[in-house]
Amino acid sequence: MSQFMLIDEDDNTYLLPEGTVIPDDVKIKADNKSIQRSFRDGAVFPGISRMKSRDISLDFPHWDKTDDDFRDTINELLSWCVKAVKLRDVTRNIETDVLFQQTSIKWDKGGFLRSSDNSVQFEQLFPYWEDVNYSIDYVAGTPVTTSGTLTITNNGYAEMPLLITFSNPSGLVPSIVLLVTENNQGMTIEDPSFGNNVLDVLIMDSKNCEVTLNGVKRNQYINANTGFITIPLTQGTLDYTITGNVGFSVQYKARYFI
Amino acid sequence: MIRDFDTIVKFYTPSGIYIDSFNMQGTNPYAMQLKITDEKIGGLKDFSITIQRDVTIRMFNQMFVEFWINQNRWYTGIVNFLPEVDQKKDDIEIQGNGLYSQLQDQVMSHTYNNKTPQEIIDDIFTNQIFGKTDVLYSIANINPPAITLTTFEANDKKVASVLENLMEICNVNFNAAEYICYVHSDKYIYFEEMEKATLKRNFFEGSDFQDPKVKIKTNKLINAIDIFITDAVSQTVAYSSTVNDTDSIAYYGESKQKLTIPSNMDSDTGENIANYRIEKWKNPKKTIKLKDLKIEEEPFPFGLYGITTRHELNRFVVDECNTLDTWTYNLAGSSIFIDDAIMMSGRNSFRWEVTSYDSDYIQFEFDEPLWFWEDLILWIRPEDWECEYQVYVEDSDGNSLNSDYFILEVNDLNPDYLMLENGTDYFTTNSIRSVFRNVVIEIIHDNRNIALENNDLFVLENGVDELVIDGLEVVLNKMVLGDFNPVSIPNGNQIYNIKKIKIASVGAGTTSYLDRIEVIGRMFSTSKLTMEKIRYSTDNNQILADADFGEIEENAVDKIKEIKETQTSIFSIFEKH
Repeated sequence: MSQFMLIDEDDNTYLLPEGTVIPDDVKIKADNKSIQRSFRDGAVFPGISRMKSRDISLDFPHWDKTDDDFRDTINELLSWCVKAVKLRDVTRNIETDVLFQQTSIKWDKGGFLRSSDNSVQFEQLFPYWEDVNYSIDYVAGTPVTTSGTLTITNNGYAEMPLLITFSNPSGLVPSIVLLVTENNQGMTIEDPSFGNNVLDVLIMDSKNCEVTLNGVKRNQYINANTGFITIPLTQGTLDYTITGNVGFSVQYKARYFI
Repeated sequence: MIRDFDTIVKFYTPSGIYIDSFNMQGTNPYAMQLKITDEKIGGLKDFSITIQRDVTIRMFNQMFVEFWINQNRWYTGIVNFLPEVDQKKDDIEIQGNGLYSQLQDQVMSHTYNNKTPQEIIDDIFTNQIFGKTDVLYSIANINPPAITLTTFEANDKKVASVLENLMEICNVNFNAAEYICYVHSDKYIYFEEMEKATLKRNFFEGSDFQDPKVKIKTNKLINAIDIFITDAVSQTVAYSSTVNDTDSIAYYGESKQKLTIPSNMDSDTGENIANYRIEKWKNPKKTIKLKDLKIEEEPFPFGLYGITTRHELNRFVVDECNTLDTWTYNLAGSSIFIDDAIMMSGRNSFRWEVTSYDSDYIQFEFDEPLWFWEDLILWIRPEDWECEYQVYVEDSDGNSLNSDYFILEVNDLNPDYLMLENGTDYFTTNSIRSVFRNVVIEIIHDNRNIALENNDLFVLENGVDELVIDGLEVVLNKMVLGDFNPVSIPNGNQIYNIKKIKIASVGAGTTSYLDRIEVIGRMFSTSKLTMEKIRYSTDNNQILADADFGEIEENAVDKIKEIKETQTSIFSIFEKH
């Protein structure tokens, strides 16, 4: 049985009571349009079909406590609920972005404080669970003239975005061409500034649909009719051609629906 | 996930004395809601600020408002509407306009001879309306093209209308250089070319926006204008000239308008205005509306934007083969006739009659490369069985597929037996077995230069639609004589983009028609459109923007008229508890 944890913006954690479960009757709907919610839910790559954002409900085991203990427990739980930004399944080591919605606490009848129907609901801002840690599949730390292919394994169950970091350029890097041959998703970036400084870092983040140069968004330098790439189920072949010398790394987190 | 922002609304008296300010962070006094509309022509158009009723602050019409967002002054406007004091609502909504609206109230009093637009604007702001508005002026900010107007008289004497007139004249080459006029947040008026060479932003569906509203507007199509000049004495109008765009008329039929210019405006200037309107409206307009865009440190600048929708099968028509004007060509031994009788789509096709073919070709070059394509489709109608095309595809770096791809045509009206003869590129027939007829064969190979070996003899059997010859994958498609057939040339990710397509004639003594060239691929689709209007509003404790792209307003003055409510009550101070 999975154990769950709440995480706040500063990566502080709160372990939910043992025995906390996601109820059996989970409903997940497909959405054939783009995701319903706007940017603040985090980007979802616009593929062919996807799952909708949904509510996640957590049921707690019954609590037999004194009045003070019970109040302390509930207060601590609620304070964590309102500041939680992620819900993590500690057992499976996956997590998802959440926003607290409501909690429900129902007292059992009787003289002793016993509550057997407790639940808390979150809105899942991002319709996937994903690995907690990035997998790093490829690192070219020193500048190299790069052109080649890289096979990336996708152990998840949904298309997987990539986080590619280009750094340590030795001179201007006029163009970067990325293509995943299996799904023909390709991006070309022609940022005229990248490589002016050896400390320049260009990041292609296809989860959040952002290309940033030293932290500043540079999506305008993505060529027309190209966009953010994902790795299809099982595996994908990343075909890269980089004009100029630059080091780069490819990171990713597999995604799961449940 | 709520974006941090820092918004302050500052109020000043007309003389510039600071009154008070509101913020959006929840400390008193604070504004509950903001709405700001910014337009390409004019700048800040209107705004509204909703504040709590129990706020105590001096407020009066004509006071200045500055909107500071994320430590930057985004806009400066003027309050022109305050609610009644005795209203019962719990909140108060203050409304106002940008300073450009003041130019609607000012009237010019001159006509000009042999002046440039810059000289005319300079005279208006330094002599005629000096000190009458809050708009500041510096000639350094006025940079129209150096067109000398022989005579200039505005249709409407309001200064805002005169500026619109001058914009029309300066935008004679609208698609190449677009000039705009607006009042900046520093209160200065600017007249300058809008930078359209590079994208300001590229918004992506699924991240920056959801559900774009896309429309093609055809109701304002203009491709011909009759110009009439008003007679100074009789005030009757006399025909002067007609300006038109023949391509647009050929595509959409004539859509003519009438332009009447004042007596003291020279005909060249009138034609400039007419040409501008045709340049702007000769094709249907694509418009896209996006909602809930994230704001940034500065207001979104006006200019060209990329709007990229999701990855899906897209089909781009490269050319309808209506005119050779968009092609380069060498047709020493061939003739291409523009044929308007036999065609599949559009209004013409290329009728290609090949007498000899040594170096004959036609070549199409994209303005910018088309990335990650999958199939190039040529719609060809053969009239003879020996007509053959060789297709060259070149990318933006000059890499090409050259002879890697080409099409062989089976060249017998009654082929019974099909074989590839020794050392030739041709399939021929004998009369032993009746198998394929009417076949186009594409040979896909890394290096087509390997010659077919001398002792190769290949027989295509009935029912086979694919075979491999020495590693060459041969794909067979049926081709019908006397009809348009799609001929597909797959990419196979061999080159990333298409920059040039060159089609060479191969078979001598043949006639064929080429009607349409398409590129198909599962790819993202980017529309490049200018931003015309943007509305910022607070929602859920954050500021979001709704933007209109590609929608070009007929007349910005009209739009200002709609919203402007003239208020004369200066210092109608009310102090409210």
